[in-house]
Amino acid sequence: MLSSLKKNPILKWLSSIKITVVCLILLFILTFWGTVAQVTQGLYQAQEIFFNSWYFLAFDFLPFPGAQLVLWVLFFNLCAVSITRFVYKWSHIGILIIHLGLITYFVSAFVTLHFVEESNVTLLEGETSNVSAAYHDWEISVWEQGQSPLRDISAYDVKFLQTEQLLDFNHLGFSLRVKSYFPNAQAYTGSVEEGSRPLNVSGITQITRLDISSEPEKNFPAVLLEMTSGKQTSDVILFGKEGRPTPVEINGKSMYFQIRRKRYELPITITLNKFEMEKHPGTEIASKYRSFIEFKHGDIERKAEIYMNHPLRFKNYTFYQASYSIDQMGRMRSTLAVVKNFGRLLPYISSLLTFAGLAIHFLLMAFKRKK
Amino acid sequence: MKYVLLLTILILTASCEQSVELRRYTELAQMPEAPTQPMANPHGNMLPQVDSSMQTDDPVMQKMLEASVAEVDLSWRTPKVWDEQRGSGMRLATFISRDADPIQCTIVSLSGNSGGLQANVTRWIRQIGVTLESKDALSEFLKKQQTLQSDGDLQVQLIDLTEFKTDQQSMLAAIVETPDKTIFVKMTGSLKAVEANRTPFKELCASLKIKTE
Repeated sequence: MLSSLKKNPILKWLSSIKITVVCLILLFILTFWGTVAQVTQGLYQAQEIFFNSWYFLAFDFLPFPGAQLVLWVLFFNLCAVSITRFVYKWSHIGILIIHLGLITYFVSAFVTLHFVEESNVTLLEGETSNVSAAYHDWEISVWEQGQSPLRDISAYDVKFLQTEQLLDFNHLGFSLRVKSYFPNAQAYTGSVEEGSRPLNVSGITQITRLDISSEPEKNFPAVLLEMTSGKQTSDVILFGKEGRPTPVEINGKSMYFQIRRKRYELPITITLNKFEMEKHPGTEIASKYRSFIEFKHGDIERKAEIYMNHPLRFKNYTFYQASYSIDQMGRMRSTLAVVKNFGRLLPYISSLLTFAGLAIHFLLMAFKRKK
Repeated sequence: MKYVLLLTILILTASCEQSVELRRYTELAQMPEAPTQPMANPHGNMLPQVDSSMQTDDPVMQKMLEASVAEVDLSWRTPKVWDEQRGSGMRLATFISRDADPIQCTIVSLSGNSGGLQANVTRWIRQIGVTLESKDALSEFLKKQQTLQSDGDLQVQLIDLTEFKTDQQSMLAAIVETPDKTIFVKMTGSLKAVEANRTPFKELCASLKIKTE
């Protein structure tokens, strides 16, 4: 079968060394260009344009392949080469393992790009949380007012939200229609016609679109929704800068609506018992800080310390000490970066395979020369 | 031709719109959420329940701030050697002394007990760069602090941090607890400046009065 595949014209074309060289040159250009572009466009924007995209318009008119496209082509090129050119003999085992390591790098990059979840959790001393918040993504979340310390949240991501989109909350007895959505907005209070005031906890009556900032943390979305439940219809405005949810009475139940940073449910409940910070002598600059936490998962209860280069790992989650802050009341908050990545070991496996392949290949060559 | 078609399909598939799907999860009920983008700068002005990137001249923001602030009709007499700047939101007033090495003094009013005496004193001690060895040390320190009765019959708990001789800023503070709010008076500056303005600080605290209708 392998010999017939070797003759396949598509595979032969795909395995061309010219494709490999062109892709490597393009990767070099993208890496350099994307790194420099971070200065003017910001890290996130540069990453999206140069590394996460399939293509972009260079100088606003010239289509240029993005790193995702180049890496896919390089991956297929490598797979094709492994079918058409590789010699599967014990004497070439080193080369084969090296290339297996390279393929694993590609798999690792794919897993990281598509499945990694990065978020953060910020806690006051004594506070507990079982969710983390996204850095840039937002959600419209709804929950029912209740006495239980645990609340059931129903949420829709706003990333791909469009006007006239219907958000189904039938299990709660209503639906929402998006009348307008702005990824970055400004909100205003003010008088409106009697009977047309939208529901909003801060008294917002109007939202306007703002240009999207290249720094995504500066974008605050707003949405005007039409809530329908049977014959009851109300307009609801939600704005990302509001710290409080908007209460809405629906069929005798008190529901809360909020547009907020997207939440990810964690596998553990984490409590910040204590936060310690030391400063460089005579300055206000922190020299080191650490969080003393306690986490629970089912019957497992453990204490841990999280500080620089000493994260907490639990299943596919890693908790890093990211930063801290002091509010105007002087309360200290610890911020832990949370990364969920089930493929976190793949880069290590790739490196080990590549190293092993190189070692075996050079040892075999040395042995051959000696003979 | 078939390669161009293959490439086009690849790009189109990648550019397809993503659908919006309902997600459900459980969350521990918390007080209004903490800011999700805290600044690494420990002196960043972070307001409770408010995202640090908000502008204070934002009309919606102002409304939210005012909602979290305890409304209190507090009056005071500005010390003659200080200049007063009217505050907004949770900060009722700011005072600056006229010295070459000035102090800054603020009056802040917040709903509820705002953490209580120990928690507030602990963070003030931290703010001036001091670490107490133990809780006993904190208790010993608190026992030495004085109280005074203001003209408006308010019990004012004075907190004198000048006994901690640090190279950083020093502080004199006062806490007034009422049934539904807590008032903080806090003076900061160099150790020398704070000690030099001890008398006006006490005069200010002694003049606090809650206006009644």
